[in-house]
Amino acid sequence: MLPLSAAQAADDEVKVQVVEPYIELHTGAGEGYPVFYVVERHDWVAILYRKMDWFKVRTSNGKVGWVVIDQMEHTLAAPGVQAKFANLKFDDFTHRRYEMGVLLGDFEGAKLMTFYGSYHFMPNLEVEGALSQATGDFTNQVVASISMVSTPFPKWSLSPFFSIGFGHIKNTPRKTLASGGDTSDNLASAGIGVRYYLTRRFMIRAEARQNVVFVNDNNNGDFLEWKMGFSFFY
Amino acid sequence: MENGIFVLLLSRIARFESSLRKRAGAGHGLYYLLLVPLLGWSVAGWAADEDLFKSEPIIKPEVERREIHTANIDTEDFEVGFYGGMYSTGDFGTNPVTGVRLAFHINEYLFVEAAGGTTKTDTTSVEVFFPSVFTLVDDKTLTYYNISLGWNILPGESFVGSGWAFSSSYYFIAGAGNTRFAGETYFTINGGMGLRFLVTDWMALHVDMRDHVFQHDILLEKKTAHNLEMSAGITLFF
Repeated sequence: MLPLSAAQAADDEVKVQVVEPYIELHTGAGEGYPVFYVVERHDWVAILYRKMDWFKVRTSNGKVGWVVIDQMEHTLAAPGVQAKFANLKFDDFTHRRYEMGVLLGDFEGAKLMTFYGSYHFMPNLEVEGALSQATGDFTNQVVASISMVSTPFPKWSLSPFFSIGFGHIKNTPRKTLASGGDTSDNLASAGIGVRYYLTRRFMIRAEARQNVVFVNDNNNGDFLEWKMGFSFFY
Repeated sequence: MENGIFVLLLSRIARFESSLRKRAGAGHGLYYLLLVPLLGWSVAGWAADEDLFKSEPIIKPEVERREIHTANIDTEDFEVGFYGGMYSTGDFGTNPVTGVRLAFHINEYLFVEAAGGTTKTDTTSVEVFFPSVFTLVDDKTLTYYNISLGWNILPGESFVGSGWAFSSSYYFIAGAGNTRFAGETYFTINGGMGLRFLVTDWMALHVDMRDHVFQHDILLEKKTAHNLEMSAGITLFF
């Protein structure tokens, strides 16, 4: 026991000790791959690397295989210290700092694709930047916007949010059908939406947003958009 | 384990006795005599009290506590690479395509992929025969990007001789994006399937078949294009 600990301290590899009766080594990183070896209680394994929820480990006698995270959680990092492998759970969702995703939807009749990223400087307040491309029958639009997003109940797994923002819209008529040049205007928006925590780093997001485009002093254009997609956070 | 508890019990008894002796020495002889018969009962009581064992371990392990640094574990959930193949642009011919892909693996079954590619298109026959009259497309380049969700099916191993085994998986994939062609942008749905063959744990070969569907009016009549793409590629995990 002691010589092993000393050897382990001298090594940079992450090693853990098995405290369950045994852990199973699969031939590949998936539950369907066959189990070809078991590591018994008190043995040490070195962690080579991780792929999704699977760890590639090497046993003390040189066998190399894949162990699922649920079994790895029941190993010891050091005497009396249980290993924690950041098996992302709901807590990480409520404490996320960065979020990015892609959403599909409709922008006043045009097909919409949005990429966004946001930074949470408080659990219920974030600043979000988004870039959207809308392709319609007569015109194409590109919208860049910055919004403040408020999430009143950040600890709910199905959590609503509200947003207000401003941005810029570039309008390009389709050459084959419409005439006229590009136009470029400012816009303001207000929206409402909902997030749903899915698994690990993933969530589903859906939202509707009303955009007011300041065409000129006398004219405003209204664009209703709705979109849905997935995002991941860290 | 039983030996440990036994040693612990003996030491407890010894400590209790010595404390009693001290008290006896201070003039509590009667107190000591009365208490000794109770000793057996008391020890039984203590043995049942787990807190005593936890609060003061007799043998303190002289092992340096070592936190596990999960940051030291190399995680390989991202996959990045390039591909090349043939892309059919309907009326505008089938031509070589090149592209890049970036994937994030959510779990062993699901992944998200972002891809972008570019291809040249042919001059149509009407443009060849009547070059001065018809110029359908000024810019012959078609580019596309898409975001797709992939579903790994039939994971398995492929064997080469007796000494080699390679992991591989087929996948269904579908998503959406935009295609830029002939000066316009078209919202595009894509779907298809592919094969991922892991040469090593960090490198994979892909064979991919994809249909890119969008509506266009380049030839003045609105029509749905099914642009078929077949490609092979190489990716690295990081």
